[in-house]
Amino acid sequence: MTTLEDRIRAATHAAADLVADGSAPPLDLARVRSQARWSRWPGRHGRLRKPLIPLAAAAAVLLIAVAAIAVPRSPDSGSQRHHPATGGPAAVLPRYLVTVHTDPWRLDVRNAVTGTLTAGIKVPVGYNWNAVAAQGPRTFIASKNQVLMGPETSYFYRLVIGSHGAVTSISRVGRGVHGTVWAASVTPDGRYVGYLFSTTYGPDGSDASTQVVLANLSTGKVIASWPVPDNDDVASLSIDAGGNALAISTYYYHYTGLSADAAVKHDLTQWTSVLRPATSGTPVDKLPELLPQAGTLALSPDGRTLYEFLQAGSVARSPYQDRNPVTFDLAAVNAHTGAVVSVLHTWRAVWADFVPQLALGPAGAYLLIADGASLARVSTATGQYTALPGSVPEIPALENAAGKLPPDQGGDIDPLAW
Amino acid sequence: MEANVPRFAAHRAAEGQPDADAPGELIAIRHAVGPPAGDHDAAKNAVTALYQIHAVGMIRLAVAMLGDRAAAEDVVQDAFCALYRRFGSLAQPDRALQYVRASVLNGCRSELRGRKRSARRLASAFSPDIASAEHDALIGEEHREVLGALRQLPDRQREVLVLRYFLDLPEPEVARSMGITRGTVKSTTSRALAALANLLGENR
Repeated sequence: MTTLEDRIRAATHAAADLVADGSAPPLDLARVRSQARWSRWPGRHGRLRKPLIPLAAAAAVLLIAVAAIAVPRSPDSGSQRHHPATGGPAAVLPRYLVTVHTDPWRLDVRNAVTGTLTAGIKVPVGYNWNAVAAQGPRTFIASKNQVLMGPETSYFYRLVIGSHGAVTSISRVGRGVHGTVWAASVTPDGRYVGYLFSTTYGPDGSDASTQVVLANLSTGKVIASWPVPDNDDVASLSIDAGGNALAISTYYYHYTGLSADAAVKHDLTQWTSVLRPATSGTPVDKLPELLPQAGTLALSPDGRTLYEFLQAGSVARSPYQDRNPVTFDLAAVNAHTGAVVSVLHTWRAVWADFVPQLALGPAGAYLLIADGASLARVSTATGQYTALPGSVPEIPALENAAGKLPPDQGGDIDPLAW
Repeated sequence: MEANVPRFAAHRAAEGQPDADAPGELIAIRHAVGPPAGDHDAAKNAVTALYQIHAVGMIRLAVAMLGDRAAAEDVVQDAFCALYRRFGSLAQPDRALQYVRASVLNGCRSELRGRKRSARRLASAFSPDIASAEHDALIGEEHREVLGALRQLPDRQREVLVLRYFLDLPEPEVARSMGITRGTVKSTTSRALAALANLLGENR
């Protein structure tokens, strides 16, 4: 045996060994309806085509080879694998991410591993994209806002990404929202959307308002809404799979005195809460506080677990003044009690400089993290952290995310979808 | 934050996984393909059972061909869906797994061709190997070069090498799997090794 054959054997096995036992996603036979007619496959006339017939003789050997070499059976191989954190089925890894960018306003579609740009969607002058959310691995919802002329109106669009990253369709869904939509999160079935919107003037000339809304995406009918007080800002928003709960993190800066440099003269108050339809109408600052921090967050499909970036230990009321590195955890939190269930990963960073973006994949199995330009993936079941080779352009500082005022740090509200 | 929060290890090794029992697998397949053709529920159950047993192995084969987990899962899902569509009219349901394997190989070919088309269409903005970059990054420097070179080979040459050296199939089995003669396997293997050596800068 020569070195080259050994190298082939070692390399292919090294690649294949990354596929862990029992890690196959559940079989999705629903694909059958959406696939092309099966005439593309051999044997269209009801029998295996001739070139495949000789395969029969190799069947036993192949089966044994695969079974012995590549398919060690796991204890749970007899039943559908479920994701331990969510109770739902495990999910395939989405191949594409979508981010919101400016200059010009656009949505970027990128390979989620390499960061390679595969498509970009611009808008005409006078419009912008403000929010993007993943409905599925290749289906995204984005809000396009009219910003220059006419009444403030936002529309939701559904984007479908093709097999090689191109956008294969864009279609408007639902009715327009009177106001500017700043953040959105959609259920996997596309029925419900949670969004944050604000109006400069109400439809009847009333004062400006900001609200978090749970609505039917197709009809636009509002199911529940929660006013956001003038001084408060929402840093992050995420909906569960059933449209039964919305998690938000919120903050406000309490000015302690007038100063030319106000940013270092006020205190920060921040909190995370879970909104349920029963509390509709209650201002967000009057709802029970789940956590005393406002990190970028994602709610699991079953609504039981909240994933959020949290500073370890207590947080000072003026953390922007501290340039010493502190510890941040990506924590799994019980969405009912606020108890930290586990810490998935830890960072050391200066508070003002650490504004990672977070996106939860289908079934809640993995989290995608964009920390600055770098990409990483974390398993919600095991906490396994995988630094990905690709990168994305840093999200521009437009609105305040995670309670960090520009110029210290900022970013759009949940501008990353995966 | 609470003080005593459990922290996951970076890797949790699979423990207590029994080795595959080849006779047991075969029995399971016979059970899986047992239900009568034409019954949708039976077909669904049979295909699902086959999938549960063989999905990981098929994904590993596709990963060895493509170097990309997500694409490999797509290919394997498509292959089992094709089997499900076809299940009622299979002349020999016992050969279902062969059909899936052939579909996986076909799917890998299509995926690699699709990447090449995308690369041509998007020119410099799109690397033909982008989807494999993650796996390449994870498996270490010593194997990246080999996998990258494998993916540059023509379809038949790549498949011969993977079947021969990944599955360790003898030449007659490779021939039967690919529907080519044993002589063609020999010549293709020889040409593939030469081409690979050339790509890797090795003298043979």
